[in-house]
Amino acid sequence: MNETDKNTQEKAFLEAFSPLVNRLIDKNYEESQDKIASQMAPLIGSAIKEQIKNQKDDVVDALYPVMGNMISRYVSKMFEEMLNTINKQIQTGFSFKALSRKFRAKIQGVSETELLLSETSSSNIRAAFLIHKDTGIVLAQAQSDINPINEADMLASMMTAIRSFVNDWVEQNETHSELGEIEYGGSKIILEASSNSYLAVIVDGASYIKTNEKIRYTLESIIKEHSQKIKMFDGDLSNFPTDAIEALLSVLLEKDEEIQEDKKLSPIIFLLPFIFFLWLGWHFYNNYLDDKLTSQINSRLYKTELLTIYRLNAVSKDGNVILKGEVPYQYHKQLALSSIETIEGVKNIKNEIVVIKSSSDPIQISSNIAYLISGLNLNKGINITYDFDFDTLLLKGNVWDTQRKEKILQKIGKIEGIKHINEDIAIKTPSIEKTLYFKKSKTELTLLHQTKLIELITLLKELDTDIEVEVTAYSDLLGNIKTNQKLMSLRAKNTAEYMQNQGKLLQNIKVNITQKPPEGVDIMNNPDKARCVVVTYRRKSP
Amino acid sequence: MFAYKVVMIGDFGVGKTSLVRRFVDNSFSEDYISSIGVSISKKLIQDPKGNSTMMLWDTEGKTEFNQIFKQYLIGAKGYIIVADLTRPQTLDSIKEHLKLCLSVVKDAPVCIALNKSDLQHQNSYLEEEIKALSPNIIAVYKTSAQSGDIVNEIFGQINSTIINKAN
Repeated sequence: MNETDKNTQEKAFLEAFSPLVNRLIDKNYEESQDKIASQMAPLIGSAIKEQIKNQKDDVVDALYPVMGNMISRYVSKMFEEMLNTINKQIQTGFSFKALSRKFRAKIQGVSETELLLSETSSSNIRAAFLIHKDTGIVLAQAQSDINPINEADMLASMMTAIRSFVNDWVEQNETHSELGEIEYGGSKIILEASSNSYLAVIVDGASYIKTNEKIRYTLESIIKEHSQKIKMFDGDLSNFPTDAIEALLSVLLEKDEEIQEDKKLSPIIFLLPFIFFLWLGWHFYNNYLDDKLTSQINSRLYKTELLTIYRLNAVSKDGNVILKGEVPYQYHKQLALSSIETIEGVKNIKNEIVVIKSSSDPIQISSNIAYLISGLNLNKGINITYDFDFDTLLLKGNVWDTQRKEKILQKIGKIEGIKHINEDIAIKTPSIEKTLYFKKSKTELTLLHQTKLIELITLLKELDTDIEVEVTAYSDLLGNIKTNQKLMSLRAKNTAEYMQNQGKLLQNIKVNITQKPPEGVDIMNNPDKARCVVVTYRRKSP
Repeated sequence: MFAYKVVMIGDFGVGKTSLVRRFVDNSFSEDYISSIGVSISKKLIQDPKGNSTMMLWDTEGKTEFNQIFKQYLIGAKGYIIVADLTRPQTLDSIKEHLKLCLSVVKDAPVCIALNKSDLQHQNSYLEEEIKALSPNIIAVYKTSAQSGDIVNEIFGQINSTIINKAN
């Protein structure tokens, strides 16, 4: 058969069988759709792969209307959900949580929106397994009811194998690093290891720092309580605290703070800021009043002349005044009190001013001494001067008697601030000689005599008792000696008796009779000057 | 409940995976062996002394270019070393595998499975001779994954040894 015949025969064959084969295919398709689908299915994947490999753009163009819409709908839906959640967050309005978020945003330097987004996207932990590091045996597990993992043992062993595999490779390249996370689809397995065990936590969706912290905290709690049991684990789960660990693991599955719907805040909460501001205003107003009154009182204290030099301070609160400071005399303390009593607004005064007698000022001490000594010098029989060289006083001069001297020293000793007193005060009794002249043959005391004697008595009264008064009678040597003797005795006696009676003197009175005229008296020319009685004194010899 | 890990090791192509497949209830794809060097299987064993879960780590067979990954041997309660009766060099490797196992867990019980007993083989290796290699060897079996002979016995033996040891 040549080539032409062969082609003709083939053409005739196709024409005869084609309608039949087409009908057979149609029939087979109608009757065995499921069978065809199951046979074709494995090929579709490969066919699409091949098509994408060869004509990627055509595939993209063909799928775009479908995929575009699908993705757009999915994204819109996700955004809608997120917006709803954010709206709810915002609607909670003036809540402590919102305030705390605002505060955290300021502190952390991130926007509040970012914080809101992180709050709205809570991590969903599906399962948590505590796995023995070497054997891969599940020591404890916690799973959510939705979509649980059936073969946890298998997963744990496989994960342990993968972990060993990766860690061994990592160790060869880097040091001190190990597998921390395995991502698959929209989920991930977070691995947190301790020395003898590790936690494998399956998280659906994104995980946040908070999620990792929570996982770390859980592992820490488990290790803290059960590290010894985990270390000694030999395969016997019946003696292992599985329940206790699973209780700790189940905390991981609890959702993070959900946004509580319809949790409206009481209207009172909105009044709180107003109440707070009212209180603040009232507080500031009171403070203003207190400050004003305090400055008024202090000003008054300063302007009170006698108090200006002292550092006094007043503090007032609600009209209650406390006075503080130091003054030298009680007088000043009272003065301070009375000077502010009349100020308007003062209700009560607590006078805490302390009286401190200050004697440390040399000028003050010096002036006190000068004042006292000038006063003392005004007295009869005192004539003293002083020299004050802080803190020693030197006294000089003279006084009539020891009484005066003692009195002076006593008074000066009372001046505060003088530590040492050196004195050079002499006792200088005043001259008190009195001469009473008598007429011839007369012995009675005349008025003039009495006046003179009273002067004398007055002076003697002021003097010490250790002096002796001498009454000496002199004669003009005219006439009879006996008569003269008698006259002189009477004159002396009268004088002494008068002094004794009138003066009630404490000093002794000694009477002397001399048969001669007073010294230096010329009896020839002046016999009147010789007929006399002289009253004088002398200090007793010790 | 007792749960533990048993590791299967042996040269490439001795039939470790086939033995495991004969024995276990559930297992991961064997593809894992070629990717990370191990596949995990699980067997629940019921025993009058108490039920236990055996996690079987089926490691990648040793070849000239591919050494056994020692990390997978850590934490095992027992080892099953598999050799191929039809290939004498795999029998020679038993000693080396044993050394590796005992270097990781020195007191672990070891079972030796001389596989492919259904095929024609030279019986020059005596079971006693192998057993004399280490006191850790608790049993030497001739197995056939093909026919299923002795497969359950070998796993049962290692399970009871492990359980007895733990008690």
